[in-house]
Amino acid sequence: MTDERHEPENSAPEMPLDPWVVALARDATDVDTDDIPREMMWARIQQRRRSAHTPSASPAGTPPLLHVASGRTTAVHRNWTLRAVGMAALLIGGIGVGRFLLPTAGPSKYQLAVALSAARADSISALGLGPEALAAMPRSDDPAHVAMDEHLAKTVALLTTVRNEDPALGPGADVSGWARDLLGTTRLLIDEPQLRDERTQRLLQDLELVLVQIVQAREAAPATQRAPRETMRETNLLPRVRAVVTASRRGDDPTLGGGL
Amino acid sequence: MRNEAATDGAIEPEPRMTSAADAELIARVQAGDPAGEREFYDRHVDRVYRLIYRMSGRTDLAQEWTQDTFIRAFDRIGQFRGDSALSSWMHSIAVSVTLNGLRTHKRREAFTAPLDDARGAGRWPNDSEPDLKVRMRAAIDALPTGTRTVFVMHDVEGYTHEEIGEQLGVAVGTSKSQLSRAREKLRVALAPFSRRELA
Repeated sequence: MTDERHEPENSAPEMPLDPWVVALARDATDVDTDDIPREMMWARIQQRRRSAHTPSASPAGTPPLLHVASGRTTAVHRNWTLRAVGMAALLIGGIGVGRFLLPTAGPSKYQLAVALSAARADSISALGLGPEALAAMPRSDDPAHVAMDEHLAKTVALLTTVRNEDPALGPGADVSGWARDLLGTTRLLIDEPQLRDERTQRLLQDLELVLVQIVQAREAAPATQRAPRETMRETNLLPRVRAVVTASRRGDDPTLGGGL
Repeated sequence: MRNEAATDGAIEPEPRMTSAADAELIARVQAGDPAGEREFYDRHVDRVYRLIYRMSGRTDLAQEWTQDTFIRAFDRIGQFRGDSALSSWMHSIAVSVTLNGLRTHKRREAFTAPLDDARGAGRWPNDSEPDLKVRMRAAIDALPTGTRTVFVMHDVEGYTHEEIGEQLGVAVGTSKSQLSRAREKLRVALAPFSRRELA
């Protein structure tokens, strides 16, 4: 069934693992009860069952979540390709503009990095992508938004851990695996058509970038290890994620101004 | 049905037949009662999710295939005859969905480059000693898919080799050799820790 061919029946003698090793394996592969996204999965199950019972359902009318759940569809590939081409064009354009504008004997690389960092943070606020704008966005109860809210709540703990770590050490092994787990869901959310507004897309893409950097930072050069913290600072990521999480929790509680 | 001895009794033995409470719940689900469906989901979701997560090793796949399991269960609840426990029936659907998913979802193809970097998890930096649980998790993640599946099904979930062979469509000897390989790799992965800690 798998990626390797099975050997002929040689009935290798079984040497059981020690009970504590088996118990450790069970524990290591277990999931915290709090980490099971019951509501999100239930919402998606309901939506998929509803859509399956809609007689007029056509490929064009298939709910977006079904696309995600059924794997990598052509549409998703096309979106990724278009996004990759767009990002590459933007990058090339940015490099070209930068080379044209920056004098040869100008400020040091460090000064440029600080300036670019500040400019990027400013541009996020200027474009209306900052925490206040995210907190003020209307809340939605559709499964994609519920899934995103649950997911962002989980990322807060990771981002806080990374922010507070000693920058000289870089992310540890457990943080790297943690980021890897969250990265998959982040990419699924990025592909959700219901999350295509610019603020949400920028937030998820910034989060994806930081998660990739955390994964890559392990056993990498010091500069690469510092990258997640720098990107978090530049993109003001943690306050933005917190703003969405806080707003969604307010929405759950009518006494705090939302929910209905 | 399960190999309780192999699991050291950690997995609760399941009733062989449908209980009266299950029968009543099934009747509600078959009648299309939304509250019954939700109760059915609440009763089984944790166990199903944990099983799939153990077998797949990934949260996104666990989420996706847990949904598939319940959709299939709701579709086929009318075919449930009650000659096994409801939890066993759900368990078998979850295993089937997961194995089908693993067949078509080659893990190495699903991981992008950065994730591949992270999957080199067996290599630990010399200057840091990770927690033993993290090391075990990394060692299990580093197993080839088939080896991991047999290990989880036999040593963690308590299936017998005959049941595994039937589910995977392989010979009993193949299941045994895969399990032997998995155990050996885990022993190797944990050996440095064992020497240092147990000395």
